[in-house]
Amino acid sequence: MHYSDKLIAKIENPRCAGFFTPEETRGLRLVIGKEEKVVAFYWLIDEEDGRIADAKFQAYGPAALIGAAEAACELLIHKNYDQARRISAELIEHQVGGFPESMGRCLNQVLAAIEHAADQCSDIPFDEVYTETPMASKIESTGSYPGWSLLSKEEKLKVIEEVIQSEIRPYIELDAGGVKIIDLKGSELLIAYQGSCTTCYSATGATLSAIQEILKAKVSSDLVVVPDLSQLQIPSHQGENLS
Amino acid sequence: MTFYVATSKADGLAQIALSYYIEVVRSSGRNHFLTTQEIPLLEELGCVKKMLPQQQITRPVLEELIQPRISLVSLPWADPFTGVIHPVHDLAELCLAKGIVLHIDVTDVLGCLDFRFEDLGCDFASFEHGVWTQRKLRSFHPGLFPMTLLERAWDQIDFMTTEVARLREEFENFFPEAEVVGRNLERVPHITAMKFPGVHPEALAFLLRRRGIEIQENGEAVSFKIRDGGMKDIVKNCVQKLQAISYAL
Repeated sequence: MHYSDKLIAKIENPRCAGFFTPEETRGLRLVIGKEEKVVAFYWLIDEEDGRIADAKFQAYGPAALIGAAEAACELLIHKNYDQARRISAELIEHQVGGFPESMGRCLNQVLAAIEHAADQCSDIPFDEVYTETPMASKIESTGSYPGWSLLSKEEKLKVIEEVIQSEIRPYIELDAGGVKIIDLKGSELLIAYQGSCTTCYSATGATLSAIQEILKAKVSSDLVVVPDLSQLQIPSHQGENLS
Repeated sequence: MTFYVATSKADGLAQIALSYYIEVVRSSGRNHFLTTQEIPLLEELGCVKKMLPQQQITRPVLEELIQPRISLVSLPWADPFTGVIHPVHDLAELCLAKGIVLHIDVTDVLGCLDFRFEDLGCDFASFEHGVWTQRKLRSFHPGLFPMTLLERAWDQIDFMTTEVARLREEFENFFPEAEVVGRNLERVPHITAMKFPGVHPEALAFLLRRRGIEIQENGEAVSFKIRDGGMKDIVKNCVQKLQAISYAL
């Protein structure tokens, strides 16, 4: 069974393993979400905005379960419980650099425990307009796509679509958002936001910047990403609407 | 003592399977067999496999499992996972009385138990690269050739076994909180199967394999083959690591 280096590192050195003592809660709500006697998540929730200030886990299961729970905790911290619900198996899989197919049940157990925790937070209000990009700030550059300049437009669009699908959408979907490609004109990539992204401040800021950085790092450093502003409904700082 | 050399354990098993099929199944039509391990050739030949439970196979246990169409029982003398020794002489008596072919794999008891193959009462005995039989061998592969074991080799094995038995006891006592599977049963000295509270066997196996310690696990316990006294600290370290994050404690 193949385990990625990232998954092995999380199994060997889980930083989020453990639980919180009553003294550690410091005015935050302690929520425990569990799935049978297999995995439990401990969240410290800020009752002001529903954000998970800190998260830990305990697990009794195969090594892959420990890795999946650790990856989930990394994704959970600083998200609100509504975003936590949107964590998917694909996102955890991406976070650990691939997950053994035969261990898929571990991902389901982790997601069930998260769901159980989130269910206990429904009385806490949360901000539905997200202002931070959920994408990883560290982008590992793999260099330009081999032979990029020689590819046809269709081939280039296919490559970009693959990168967006694996590196960008899983994170944006965490915020109930979406992104699709409209066109590629030279090195200018026109994209359209969907879902929550159309009302999010960061759609023209941090999220756009992250998308551009990822595509520059993984596809071509010449790419410039341009969002279709006609779809956006973001109130300006003066209270105006961009659309 | 004469044995027949096979290229591997699987090859030896295939030779036994073929001999059994030709000499027993074809003439009697009884094609069901009880086993602890896969015997692919027999299934390819249309025989029906019934698995023996993972526990000590005593005469009453086997008696309960034997049905009219069973014509072969194949099991190791010592369970390779727990080290528990099956009372094969009792089983041989039962099989003889019921006209059932008995195959015993003696790999894990070689050098641990003092025995003569002729006294086992079974039809076939096998070990890594070797097969012993008191049948006619007419179905055996012509490439098999005989070999002998030196008395001095047996003496050396005997000495090493005594030392290994001491190391296993030391190893088991190092983990007083662990449950040793079959502790009160007769076991071969170099194998121990243990359950550690709050530790999932697969997770422990994963950590230990990464540290160069090869162990088996069956979802409930982990099985160690004791070779020297050097691994107990590494095992303890991994057990403690998993207990620290365990949700089962």
